[in-house]
Amino acid sequence: MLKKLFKDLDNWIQKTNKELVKEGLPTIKPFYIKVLGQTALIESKIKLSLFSTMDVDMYSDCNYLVKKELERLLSKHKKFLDGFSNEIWMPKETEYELFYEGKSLKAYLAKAEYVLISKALKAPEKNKNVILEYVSMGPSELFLKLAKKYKIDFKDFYDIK
Amino acid sequence: MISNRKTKNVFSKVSISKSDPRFVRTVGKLVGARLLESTTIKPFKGNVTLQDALWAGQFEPRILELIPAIVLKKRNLFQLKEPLPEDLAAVLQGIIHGEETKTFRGVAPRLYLQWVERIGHKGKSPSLLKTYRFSNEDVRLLNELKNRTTLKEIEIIRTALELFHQQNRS
Repeated sequence: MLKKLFKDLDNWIQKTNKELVKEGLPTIKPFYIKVLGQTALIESKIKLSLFSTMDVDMYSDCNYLVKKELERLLSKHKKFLDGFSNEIWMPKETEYELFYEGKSLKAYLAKAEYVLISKALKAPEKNKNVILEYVSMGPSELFLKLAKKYKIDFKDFYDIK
Repeated sequence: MISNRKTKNVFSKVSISKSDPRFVRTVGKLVGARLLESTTIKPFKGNVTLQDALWAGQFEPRILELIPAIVLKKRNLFQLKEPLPEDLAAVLQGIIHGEETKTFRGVAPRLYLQWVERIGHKGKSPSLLKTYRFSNEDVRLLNELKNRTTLKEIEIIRTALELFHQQNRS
């Protein structure tokens, strides 16, 4: 769904830019979108039982016009741009993988390990099941390294009612 | 640090709860209503009670995030077989009266309130309940206007408010 949406957004920008050129106005400059949170995990196809509400966590340097079009395209899929995306904490060394490359936009997915660390550290109660599932499957070296660095105490995750 | 054996034990308890029909049906119902996405559970068209949805919410807080808005704006999604639990009723009262609401079973107000405008009629907040005492003369006027105009009482009050607002625009 998301790749198609980014393609539609890119096409809309090309069309809008042509009109802006005709009118002698500045065009929309290339920008990036970083997909975070649950949406990044789902799109990464990681084998976890994931549940997500219809809000999408993204961070972008796009302008207001593009943001409005992005919101419109998301609403066609009954989805919403999360109003709190700018507040999402991600580890500073987070790696992003290229997910879609168009003429005006590059979209990246935050790598699963960093998303899981962000969730474990900032919203452990909400995400303890997904963290437990991931850890019980055998976590990657990268995840273990990050967990050590950010001093995540997994005792909190064992306290299930 | 991570204890793999302990993690597996705890996770297996969670897994058992998540394979419970109450959990599967609740998530399936929400997936079918396009309020939730799941990588493992398919849409479910049968009936789900609010009690089962609240039970399932213990294992997935995203379900709890949606429940106040669903009860307010999409009332038929979950069957209501018992009176509303006190904590949920208090949250709903707060929303209806436009008052500050409390954390609902671990879910912060900003997380469940965001769905009130998104679920059901988009962008529409539920109407607020306000109570006033009218004098006999007020009631007589209201009845007279009701008989003369065939408008409902609330429509007359709204019209009067709108007129008063227009007259007092700065």
